[in-house]
This record gives sequence, structure tokens and C-alpha cells, in this order.
Amino acid sequence: MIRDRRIRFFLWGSVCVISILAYFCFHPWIWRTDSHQTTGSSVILDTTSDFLLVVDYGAFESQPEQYAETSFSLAWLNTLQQEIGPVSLLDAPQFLDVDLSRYRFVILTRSASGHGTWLPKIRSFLERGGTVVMEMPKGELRALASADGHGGIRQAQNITYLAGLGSEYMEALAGLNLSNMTQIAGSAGPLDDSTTWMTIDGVPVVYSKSYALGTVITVDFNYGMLLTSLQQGRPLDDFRIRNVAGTSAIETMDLALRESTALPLADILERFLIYGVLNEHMPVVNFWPFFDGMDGALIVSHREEGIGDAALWMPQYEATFKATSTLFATCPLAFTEDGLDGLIQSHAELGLLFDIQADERSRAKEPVGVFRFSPVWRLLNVEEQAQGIKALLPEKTPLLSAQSRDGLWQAHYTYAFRMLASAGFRADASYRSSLESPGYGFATGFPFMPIDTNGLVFNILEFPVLFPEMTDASQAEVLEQYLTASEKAHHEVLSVGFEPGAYARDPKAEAFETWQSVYRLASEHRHWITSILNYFRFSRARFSSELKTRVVEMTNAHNKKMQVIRIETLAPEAGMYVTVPKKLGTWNYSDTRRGAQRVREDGVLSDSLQTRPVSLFGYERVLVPLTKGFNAIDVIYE
Amino acid sequence: MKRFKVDIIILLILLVFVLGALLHHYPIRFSSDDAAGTAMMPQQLGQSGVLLILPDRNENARAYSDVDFSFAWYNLLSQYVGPFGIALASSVNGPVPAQLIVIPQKTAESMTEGQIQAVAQSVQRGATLILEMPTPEWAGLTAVKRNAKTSAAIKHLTDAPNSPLAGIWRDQLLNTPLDTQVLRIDTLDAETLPGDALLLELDGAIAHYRRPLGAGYVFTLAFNLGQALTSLQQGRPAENFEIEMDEPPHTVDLVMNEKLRASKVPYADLLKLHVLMSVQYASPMPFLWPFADGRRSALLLVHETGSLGDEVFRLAEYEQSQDVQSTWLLTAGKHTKKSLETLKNARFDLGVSLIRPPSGQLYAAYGPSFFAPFAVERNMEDQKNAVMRRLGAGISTCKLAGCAWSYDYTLSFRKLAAAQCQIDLTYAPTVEGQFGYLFGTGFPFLPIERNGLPLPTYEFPTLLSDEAGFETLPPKIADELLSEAEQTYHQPVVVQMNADTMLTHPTYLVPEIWLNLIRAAKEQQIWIATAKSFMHHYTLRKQARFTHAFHPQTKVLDVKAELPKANFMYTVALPRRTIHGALHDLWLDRQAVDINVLRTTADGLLLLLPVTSGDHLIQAQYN
Repeated sequence: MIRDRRIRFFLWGSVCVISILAYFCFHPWIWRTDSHQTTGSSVILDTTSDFLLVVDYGAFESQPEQYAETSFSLAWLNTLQQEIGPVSLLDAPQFLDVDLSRYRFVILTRSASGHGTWLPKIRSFLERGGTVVMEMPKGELRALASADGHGGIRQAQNITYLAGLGSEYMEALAGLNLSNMTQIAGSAGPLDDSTTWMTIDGVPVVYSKSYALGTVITVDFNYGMLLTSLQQGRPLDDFRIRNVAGTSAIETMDLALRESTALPLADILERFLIYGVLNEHMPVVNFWPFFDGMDGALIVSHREEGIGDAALWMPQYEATFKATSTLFATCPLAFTEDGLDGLIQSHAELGLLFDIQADERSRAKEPVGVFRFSPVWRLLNVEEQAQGIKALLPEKTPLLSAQSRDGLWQAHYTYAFRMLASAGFRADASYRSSLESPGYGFATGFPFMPIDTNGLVFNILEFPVLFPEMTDASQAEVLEQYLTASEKAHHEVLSVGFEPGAYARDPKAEAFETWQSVYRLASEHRHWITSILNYFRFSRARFSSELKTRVVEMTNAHNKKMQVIRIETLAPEAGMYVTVPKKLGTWNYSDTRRGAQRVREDGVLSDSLQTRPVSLFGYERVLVPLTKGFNAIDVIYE
Repeated sequence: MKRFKVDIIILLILLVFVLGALLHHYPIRFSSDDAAGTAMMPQQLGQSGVLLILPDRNENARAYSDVDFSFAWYNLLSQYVGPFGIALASSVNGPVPAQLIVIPQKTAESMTEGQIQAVAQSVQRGATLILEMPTPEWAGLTAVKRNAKTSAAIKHLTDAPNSPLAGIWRDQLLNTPLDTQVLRIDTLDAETLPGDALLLELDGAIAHYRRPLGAGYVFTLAFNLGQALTSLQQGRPAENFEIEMDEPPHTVDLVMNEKLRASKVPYADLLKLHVLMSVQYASPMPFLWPFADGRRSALLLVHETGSLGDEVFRLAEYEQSQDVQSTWLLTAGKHTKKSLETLKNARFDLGVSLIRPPSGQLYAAYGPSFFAPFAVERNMEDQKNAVMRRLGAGISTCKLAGCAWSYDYTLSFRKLAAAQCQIDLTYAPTVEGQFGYLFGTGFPFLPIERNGLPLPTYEFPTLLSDEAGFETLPPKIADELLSEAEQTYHQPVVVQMNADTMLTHPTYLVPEIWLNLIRAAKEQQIWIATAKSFMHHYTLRKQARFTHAFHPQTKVLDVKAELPKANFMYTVALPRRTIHGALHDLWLDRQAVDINVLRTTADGLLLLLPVTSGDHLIQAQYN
């Protein structure tokens, strides 16, 4: 009997083991591993520029409990790099050692606007004609040329006035609910002899006052917080992201604006500040953000979704008219060697389409087992997915860009950015507007550096995708409206996304025609059709360039007075432009000359440059071409 | 063992379940062969003043060069003339009641002295004769008395001194690749040819000439035009009718000449038109033009559904929205009845893509739905029937998937005939870089069996196919082929784009070419037809009663047309320039027609007159 039992036990035990093994072959056990995380880091920039931005890293709250406690000073860096190009960034302890005569604008962010000991140096700068911008100044600096601030820090509601801004843009900004997005510093009354440029809830929040030969511009609201809330999205106070869309997982679109997506509100605000306020006191010269003086950029990305070489037909089409794009591929890479060669030949960029919350359906997994028996599958984290792609890329081919599959995101405001930073990515295109209401869900089309909860930035440029999935003609019509507006006034980066496999699975002619029409429309509206990598490189070239200007008054051969902006700049790339104001007070733009002698008292020398007028939300500018390398240019106003 | 009886029973039951599941997923497969049909004499449907006389006996040829190519003339007349009569040589016992008599080589060889005399009498009374490779017995008509040498070496056309073709047509005619037997005639025995009588030279020797005889004309061809056309259109096998390949052959392996693998010129049609227009110039006669509604070309879009299901019909949705119908070659068992009915109701031509080795195999599972342990290979007929059952209607259009072909020259045609495929689209480019008139024509033709009879499946050659990879083709070639078909060569342009290409070998060129072709065809008012609708017009016009008489004294061409009922307009093509003068006035049913508003062919030789179905009288005055 005992022997029978043993045999029976062995028999049925074997059957059970085989059944269990067979079951696990079809339904493997999933093993998850967490990604490493790298927090935001501080930045110091020493460039040749008219602009000096000052922050005080020491004043940053490293572990704030509330969103509003975060220091948003580095949001100013996004504004200045986007609009100007090269900018110097100093930490507060270095301020007293710096030579301010190198700059025309000094911006003291909120973290750095309470240092009373800096007063003499700032006074001296103002006496030489400099312009100082102070964000919510405190103490002695506040007393210099700002209102009393006795009203304390208050929650803001609505923007109520923006001087000189077109009514369409004014109304759009006025419609924005600022609750939880920024704070204002109230005062007992307006500052005497000051000019008010902007009010929130009727309170002057941007105003200027002359001081000696210079000007002090006070920004009495948390500009950085507002800009970050618009661009990066506003999480809950404890940094969790609310599932606004009510989907099964958190997506980046949960951080997007639900309304007012037709206009880039953050860019309107930024450009108002730079061209509507700063430029009124001191002419601002900036690097144009688009290659070859185009009116905007169309950044095209494609999602490979595991189909490998079959996804290459879209980049191959783009290569026929010398456009490029970014192809986001999943890990493991499904391309053949020929496919990768084809991708490189078409000059498209390869990025990672990562699974941030990998599950059983994810492709980013590897079997654990022997031979074909794999009862366990290990899900790859973002870093491993990146390594998996990098290992197959040819040498010197960078893996710079990433995009989250389906726009899925972490529940915490910045964890996903920390994962991307840890994996070494420099650009990300996970932020996408909802499919139902495409547009400026993140109030901008320009890439920005995200800010971590500790107030420091990630060395990543986040490219918001305005049109994540274009498949029908009505979307192309909407895009055309955006392109038209961008060509005429907005001058934006518009990112669009396509999935090559979608057309193959569901061959709708409309989807194909829509896709092709996007390139045609972009060309018709003078937009640079490019990849994330190319735009990233161009942006880096702008940031690392040099740009110094000064304004001088001269008399020409006919004894007529004229104002001249003397520009000295180093353009590291071909196809770079600068813009200058069309008017300097009552002086009108007349001519632009290049050469060593440029303008002399006895006449105008050297060659005249072919310039082109542009309008930025109604701010009239003149686009001046540069040659690669050093440029000395005089812009003449008569 | 008894002690484990229960365990063993349970184990056996488990084993049976496991084996059953395995069999269900990996069923036992049985192969199946295709039946082969036979060639047959086609029915005579219409009536016309054109008569093709065919030999009485049809024997299997031992070598390709020995095949009776008389039915190539049948194809030629079907393509351009429309209705015509056929008769066996034995039926010629007196004067032939026709205005144009066509006697191919084998018929000429088989006719007796008395029959030749009967034909000669007809010509004397005003008929026109086209005579191919005549024997010395025909000397009374041809003026060639000696036993001329025949040669099978490939020859080149060296001159076309009096060809009615003009411009690019004539230039390209001399480039036509030839595979034909040649009757070496250096000079005529009886007479010297008048200056305008020599129409074509082959290697400097007379190849085609016109000779007046009584009130009529004799057009003598000193080469086997039927063979030349068949080798171009149907392809050229080895002499033993094999396609000599190590790999399983494809239809492109039959292409006669390397030049044809990327050809924008329909060489076979140049030859046909040279011959026909030569006749028309001397003796005006009408054609019933192969394009409906007075059009000059046609675009036929063909989609094979491949591995995809109903989702591929998105393409059809778009075509429908553009009021365009195309031909869909369906894979058996892949589509729902509802979708097929929708397409059928939208007047799409639904055919079948036949998946046969070496391209692949389709199996039908046998057993109840939860357990199907057997699978039987579906042969061509099964696949066609499966689609027809799902569709609830007949199917006429077929294609062998992957353009796979048999080693034997005509075996695949026989199989298609057995499966009752009336139209086949397998002649198509499949190798990178190939495009255009690989088979010398865009028109459908009946393939010729080795016994000289036609197989009852129209082969409709494809000009462009994404199976050959659009990426390797010259840019804009699709647009060029279409616009040249409209503006120069007047051809149907068949373009195949598999509906699953974007899954298997995706390229933007497939949807781009597809959309551009539709757009261009609409802009240029090109007839966008399906294989079925094109063939409907093509065969219906052959059923017409279409007689004519030209009166040299009055220079009037009278045409009497009884056209079968149809939902389109037929197109009558009339010569504009003849030996008797240019077309001056035209009357349709006694109503004057302004000839200046009618369309013409690109070379200006033919005037295209759209007419409705029913009875018509047409009068053309030459001056």
C-alpha cells in the first residue's frame, strides 16, 4: 500500500508539476524593478550676454511640503533662454564679486531679492543706466524703488491689465484662473512716479520706476510659480498629480490646461515681459529661436510601437524633402541592421518610447528561465530600456530623446523626470495635450527645463506635444490655424505626433492625406520641419552663443542724429538670426550694416544686411541674419 | 496494473484531451490539386465586315515556334476593332462576304487553290485582305512567286517608310522587340512596289506592303505577326514550352525581352496599330473603340487583401467617397459577409486572390467548431467558391497570389480556366525596378494554348505593382504612365496595390501613388474602371452588329451599328485621314455632328464619336 501511494504520489505529482510549468509558460510571473532617480541640479552659467540672472540656491527649500513652498526662481532661466538665448546665471554668494558693467539687465529672482547688502552695487549699476528686475523684493531692496508691500502675500485670481498687449491676448490671459498658480505681494498703495505694466486683481504687479539713469522693474507676483504651473502643470499641494481625465492611470495630460489651449499663454506672458516691458526701457536684442529665420518650427515625432523597420516609411518620406523627425522606438529594439541604416540615412533621430509603468502588455521585458521555458518575465525600468537601445545603436549615435508610451506618467509631479534624468536623457516629449482638445495644453510650444520639487532644474528639455495624434482632416485644419497664427504673430514650436503603424492597421486615406498635408502646411507657413535632436542642438547653440549690445547716439554725414545699436555676437551655427526692436522710442528702424567699421561719424560704411520685419504678439521686431562665427553689426534708427 | 486502473483511466482521459487540443491547434493536413481546363474555340457573338479566317485543324505543337498563332489576330481585332466574324478555312467556298479579310499564316498555308481564288475575287470586288506569311500559291495576290526562305532569327525593324503612325509612335515602332519567323522577300517577282506601298522593313527586306488588286487591296506581312504579338503579350517560353528556371517561376519570367522589364511603350500595340491603321488609311473602316464614353484611356486599381480582414476596406471607403470603384482580390475566409455585401452594393469588382504554392497555402478546417483535427488544402476552385459563397454572387476576376506561375507555359492558365476565372491579373511586375508594358500591351488578351486555341481566361496585364517595390521605380512613373496612356498610347493602366503592403513592406509611395492616380484620373477625365466593368464594355462591344461600306466614288463611309443595351456610351472610332482625303463631314442618325468638338486620338488619326446603345446610322464624308 505504501509503495502504491508513493507511485501514485509520484505520478500525480509529475502531472501537477508539468501542468504548473505549462501554465507559467503561458502566464509568466511578472517581476518589476524600480528605476533609479536623479533629482534636479543647480546651474551656473557664465556667458557673454546682456542679461544676468541671479538666484539664491541657499534659499531653496530642499524638501518642501507644499507646492507653493517650492522656489521657482529657475523658471526665469526658461524665459530668458527661450526668448534671448545666452544668459548668465549666478548664485547669490557670487553676486558681490561679479562685474555688473558687463550686463545691461540684472534680474534678481524671488530667492535673491532680499539681500540688502547688495544695495550699493545695484545703485551703482542703475546710475550707469542699467535695468534691474526684482521679483517680489524684500527689505532694503524693496525700499529702493518698489511699493511698500504692506499688503502681504496673497492668492491671485485674475490678470486684470497688461499695458500695450493686444486685446485678444489680454482677454486670453485675463480668462486664466490664477488660483493656486501664483501669489502676489500686495501694497498699501501704488508707488509714486512709477509706470504700471500689469495688474492682478487690480493690484499693480509689474511696474517700473526710474532710478538715476537706470530703471527698476518690480515684478510683484510669483512669476516663476505662474510660469511653472502653466508649462509644467500644477500638481496637488502635496505634489501628487490628480487624475483629471479619470483614466486608469496618470497621464501627462492630467497636468495640462483644460481650457484656453488655443493660445500659448505662457509665451504671451514671457514675451510681454521681455518685449512689452523690458524692451520699453532698454532695447532688447535676442537670438531668433528658429533656424534660417523661419517663422516657427514643426517638430515631428513618430511612435514605432514595436513594428521596427515597418515604421520607417514616414521618416523616409521626410528625407525626400530634407526634413527630419524623431522616431520613438520601444525596447527591445525591433529594427534590423538595414532598418537602422535606413533610419540613419534618412537623418531621422531615434528616441526611446519608454514604458513608465510596465505591465504584462509591455514590450520592455526579458524572460528569466532556461531554453524556451520562461516562467518569469522581468520588466525593464526606464534606465534599462535606455541601455537596451543604446547597446544597439552605432557608435556616436546619441540617444537623447524619450517619450512615454501613451503619455503615461508617474503619480508624483517629478518622479518621471528624475527617472529620465537618471537614464541620461536630455530631451523628453511625454507632455502631450489631450487627443480631444489638442493645442497649447501646457501654455507653450517651446521646450522648457522642468523644475524639481527642490526648485532645481532637470537637465532635460521637455517638448510639449500639441497634436499627439493627427489622423483626420479636421485636425489638419486646426493645425493650419495654429501655423497661420505662428507665422504671423506667435512664432512657435508646434510638435505633432504620428504612429506609422496606425495607418498600416487601419488604412484610412484621410489619415495619410492629413499626414502629408502637415508637411505641406508647415512649408507654406515657413516652419522648420525638424526633429527634437535638431531643435535641441539649435537651442543649445543659441544658449552657448555670445551676444553683447550697446546703444550709442551718432550723427551722420548730413549732420542728422541717429541711434545705433551696436551688436557683437558669436554665432556657433549657420542659419542663426537676431531680432532688434523696430522702434527705439521715437526713433524708427532704418538700416542694418555689417563690417569692421560699420557706422562712422562721417557716414555709413560696409554692406547693408537683408532684414525682415516680424511681429511677436504685436511687438514689432526686425530679423537680422548672422553668419557663422563673429558678427559685428550696427542697427541704425533715424 | 489493476491497482492503478482508475489512475490510468484518468491519465488516459487527460492524454486524450491534451492530444485533442494539440490536434486542434496543429491539425493533420491534406493537400489538394487543381483541375486543369482546356482551350476552346470562342463563340462568335457579333457581326461585322471584318472576318478572321482560321485554320480547320488544331494540333498540339511540339515546339513553341510551331504553334499556330492565328488567335493572336483574334486578340488584335478584339482589342481595337471590336466586333468581327470568324470562319474556318473550310467554309470559304466562294467570294468572302467581308470588307476586311484576315488570313493568318497557318490559314494561308492550309487554303486550296480554289479558296485562294475565292479570296482573290473578293479583293477584286473591293475587299481588303491582310495576308500573313503567304505561300507561293498566293502569288496572284502578293506578287511573290518564289519559295521565299523563312528564318527564325530575331530580326529588327529597320524602317517604316509609309507607316500611318506618326511621331513617337513611328519612332518607337522601330524599337519593337521581335520574336517571329520571317519570310525573306528582297524583291517582288511580278512588279516593282510603288513608292508609297512599302510599309515596313525588317533588316532592310520587305516586311509589310500594300498592293492594290482590282477594287481592293492586299496587305502582305512577311513575318508572323501573330507570333510576334504572342511572344510579347503572353511571353516567350523555351521551345519545349517550359520556363527554364531553378526557382519556382513568376509571370515576369515570361517577359520576352530585357527592355520590356521597364518599358513605358506598349510595343505590341504599336505593331497592331501600324497594321490596322495601314488598312484604315487605304480603305476607311470604323472601329468600336475599346474605351467607353468617348474616353481615351482607363485606370484600373486593384487591391489584394492579403492577410488583412475587413479593416482593409478603409481604402474602399475612400474610393467610394470619391465615386471610384476598384477591383478587390479577396483572400478566402478573411472577410465578413456584411463587408462584402457593402462592397458589392457599391459596385466594386470583387475577385479572389488565389493562394497556391509556392506563394502559400490555405486550409479549410474540418470538424466541429471546438475540435477540428483535420485541414484540407483549398485549391483554386475551393478558394473561389468560398469567396462566392460568402459574397452570395459570382466572381469573374482572379489572381494568383505572388504572381507565382507554373513551369509549363500554359498550365496555370488551364487551372485558372478550370476554376472559371474569366479575368486574370497575374501578369504583373514582381521584381524591383520593373514597371510598365512588360507584356507589350495594357489590353486584355486570350492566352493561346499549344494547340493554337485560346484558353477562356482573359489575361489583363498589370503595369505597376507594389509587389515590385515602388521605391525602386523612377519618380513619378505612375503619373507618367497614366498621362501617357491618356495623351499618347491610349491604354488601360492596371495598377495593383496590395491592401496589406503597409503592414508587410510599408512605403509612403503606395498610398501616395494611389491617391495621386485617383486625383490625376479625375482631372484628366480618364475612365476609372474595374476589371469587371472594363471587360463588360470590352466584351459587350464585341456583340455588336457593326457593318460598314466605303464608296470610293462618293468618298462616303456608311456605318450601321446595332449596339447592345448598356449603361454606358460606346465609342465609334473613325479614320480622319485616308488615301481618299480627310474626314470632312459627319452625320449620326442623319444629324450633322461637328467634328471639331469631338475628341481624337493623340496622333490625330482617329475621331472618337460617343454613341448610345441601340441602332445608329453613321455617315462620314471624306474630301
